[in-house]
This record gives sequence, C-alpha cells and structure tokens, in this order.
Amino acid sequence: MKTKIERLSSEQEAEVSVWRDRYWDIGTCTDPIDRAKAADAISRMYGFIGKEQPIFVWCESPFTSSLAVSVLRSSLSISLWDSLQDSLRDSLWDSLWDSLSISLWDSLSISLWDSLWDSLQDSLSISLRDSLQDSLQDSLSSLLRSSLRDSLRDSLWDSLQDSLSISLRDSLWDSLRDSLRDSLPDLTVWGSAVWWLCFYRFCGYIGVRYSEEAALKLALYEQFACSAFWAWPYAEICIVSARPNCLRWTKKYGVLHCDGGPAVQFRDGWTLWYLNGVRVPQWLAETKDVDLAPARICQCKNAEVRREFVRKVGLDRIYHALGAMLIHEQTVTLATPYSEAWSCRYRLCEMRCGDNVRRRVLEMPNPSLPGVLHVEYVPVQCETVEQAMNFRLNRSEEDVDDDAGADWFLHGDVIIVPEQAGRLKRWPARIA
Amino acid sequence: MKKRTDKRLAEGEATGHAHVAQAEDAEVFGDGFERRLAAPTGTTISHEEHGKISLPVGNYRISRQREIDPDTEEIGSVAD
Repeated sequence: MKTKIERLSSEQEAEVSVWRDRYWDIGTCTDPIDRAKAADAISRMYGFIGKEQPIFVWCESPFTSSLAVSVLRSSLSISLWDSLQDSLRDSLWDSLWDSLSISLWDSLSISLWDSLWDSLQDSLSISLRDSLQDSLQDSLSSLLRSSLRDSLRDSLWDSLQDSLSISLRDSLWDSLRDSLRDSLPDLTVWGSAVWWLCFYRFCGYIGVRYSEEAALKLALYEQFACSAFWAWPYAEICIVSARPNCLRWTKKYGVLHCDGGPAVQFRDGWTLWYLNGVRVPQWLAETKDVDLAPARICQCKNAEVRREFVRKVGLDRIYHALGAMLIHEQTVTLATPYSEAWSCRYRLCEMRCGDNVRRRVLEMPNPSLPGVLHVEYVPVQCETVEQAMNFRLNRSEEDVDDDAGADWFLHGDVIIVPEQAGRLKRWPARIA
Repeated sequence: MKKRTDKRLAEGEATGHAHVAQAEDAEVFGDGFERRLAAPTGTTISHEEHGKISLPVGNYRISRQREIDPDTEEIGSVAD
C-alpha cells in the first residue's frame, strides 16, 4: 500500500509560494483571449459528456456575454431555447466537475495526511480564493445582473422618454426586467477559479496520483483558465467571455482597488471602479480626494460606498465642511474576535449638506478594519447613542434588559438573535 | 422558509461579500433581509472583511440593521 505523504520536503515547501504566484498570475492575466485554446478545451469538455463541439459566440466581457444570452433567448422560440438550455450546465457540472472533484478528493485522501492537506489548503488556496473568487468572481456575477438591467433600462428609457407614456414605459421596463431576470444564466465555467486548480496541481507535483481521466479533465480546465475568462455552456452553443484588459488590486492576494481609475476594464469598454474591494461610482474612484466635495456624502446611499467616501475624504474634513454638531457620544467595551475588551466609541452627530435637510448620523469604528469608520443615518429624533442603536436594531427601550436579557450578536450589519429570545442585553455579546 | 444551499445569512451588493454559517450541520432558511439559522452544534460565522464569530448551539433570527434615508425619511435595512 502506498504511504501517505505526511510532510513536504524543504524543496517542496519552497515551491509553495512559487505555485501560488503562478496561479495568481493565471487568474489575474489580462492578455487577450486565446480562442483556439479555449475552443479546444471546451470542445473536449463537451466530448466528455457526449456532446458535439458547440458553436462558439466570442464576447469581450461577461457583460456582452450576458447580453448575447439574452438576445439569443429572445430570438428563439421558447421550446428551442429550452432545448438549447437543456440542462447542459447541469450535465457539464455533474458529469465533469462533480465526478472530477470526487476523483481528485479520493486521490488526495489516499495520499495526504489530513494535517498536510489542511496546511496546503491554507497556504495554497485560501489567499487565491479570497482574492479571485470572493473579490472578483462573486462581485462580478452579482453585479452583472443589476448592471445589465440598469444599462438596458437607461438606454430604453432614453430612447422612449419623449414618445411613450409613463404607463407604457413602465410596462415595457417591467417585461424587459422580468425577461432578463429569467434569462441571465448562472456563470458556470470560471477561468479565474484557479485557487482549487492550484491546490490539486500542487498535490500532483508532490506525488498524489490522479486517474488518467481526472488528470486530463484538470488539464482541460487549466487550459481554459489560461486562455479565457468565463463560459456559458449550452447545448450546441457556448458563449465565451474574454479576459479583462485591466485588473488592479490593493496588493497581491488583496482586493480590487484603484484610487484614480478603473479597477476592472474589459476590451469592449465595460468598466468597474473599486475602492478597497467596494464597487463605487466612477466619480468617487477617479476624483482626487482633495477635489471631492464633502457634501457628496449625501449621494452615497450604500453604506459600504459611504464608508469608502469617508475613508477617502476623511471624517474630520466632512464634519468640518458640513458644520457637524456632536449630539451625544458613548464609549462601550465590547468583545470582538480579536479582543475581549475592545473600546468602541459611538458618536451621534448632525450635519447638513447645504440643502437644509437635517442628517443625523451614528458614527462607529469598524471592529474588524482598524481605522475605518462608518456613519449611518438615524432619525433626527434620536438624542442619545442608545436611542440611535435601538432604532438601528428595530427595538424599543422596553426590549432591553441588561440583567436577564438574552445574548445576541452583531456581524457587520447582520443582527443575530436567539429565536425564542424576548428581551435582549443592550450591547452584543460579540461584535465583528 | 426555503432552505438555502449557500448557508448565507446576508450578502453585500457593493462587494459581493457574504456572511456565511460554517458548521456542516448549520442550516439557513429564507431570502431577503429576514432569515433563520439553525445551528444544532453551534457555528462560526465568516465574512471576507469581518472577523469570525462563534455562536452557541441554538436557532437564530437573522435581520439587518436599519437606516433612515434623510431625504425621503424612508426607513429600510442598511444597503451595503
């Protein structure tokens, strides 16, 4: 029986960072698409599930790829579309990736001790996954739907606003929105999902033996990852997106970020702006901090975008420019994942953005991001930090019982309360 | 409430980040801002930007903090 690999040799240990960097480079590559290589990889994947080589529709970004799917869907009869869709995603996933992962997993469990497995996952996969999957894939895929809808809505409205009645516009928009919501597919083949490729390929390098079929499927996946960005596989048709031509990060293995320009740009012009991993409007990313008018904080309806505005402009400058008044402040000691006694200073302030609207905000530090401050709007009737907190938590003072109340938790803006709890303690048992 | 396969308690619009229950036997139910979490052996909650917190055994109500829009005075869950 083959001996399990218990630890890496010093030579192999030295290779870990080399491999991780190699796959970071693959996942963040901004070269033009290599159509021949991508088509070959996808055709052979189709072959694995008994499908003919599809017709390829090449697009320059996930955005135009989604448009292509929508156009395709709207131009085909429902029955033809259904047959095209025909669960190829499920087939491809079930037949190719599920079987592949089971096969790879089996090989690994035979060959690697758990401790080495965990350690390799930590050192090889986590940083890649956090950056490439969480920062890039997840944000792009959630954005695609809203962005596509917004663009179509705007252009449609622009073209129709002079000639159609409001009711007709609304009904057109509604039907278009509904059609898009139904037609946008899940993204299924990710060129940038290299974090797990890196893990399995490295395990192969240190001696884990995969079946011939699993090794070939891995190689095909890697061939795709090295040549294109994402693919939408359907029966007979496969829509493939090219890679971006610009990707900017806070640092290697960091989050998407560019202060002064786009963080993500594709060759067809689809552009996204990010500050510290938060998707922000173009004006916030591209305007110099000293040129940003503090009153523009009023335009930041999203709490994370507002956080980045505050981080870029500076809260002192905002308060000074907007004549902020301190209404109340309170410092409480809370438990965080990093400290059992974190001193958290809440400040209740009121400011005006030159429009005579009273804006009362509760300011608080982020327990997980040192130095980062949040300001969130509360009603002007709130006179104390405790009242502001009660509003934010949707509770009244009668719901608070610091002696017999239940423990509860705050994770970002997410409130976690025991289901049967009546009264609650005033402050969370733990905050992150 | 429908059981979620992603075990997400909430997700952010501007970042794509999510608050996720990590325990194998943890179950999350529902959509939108109101969800339920069942953690028969307790669970940790993770998020890309926030530190992990551990929850003891139990069932939980999940909701989002509220915010007011000073321009319209509409009250809603914090959009992030």
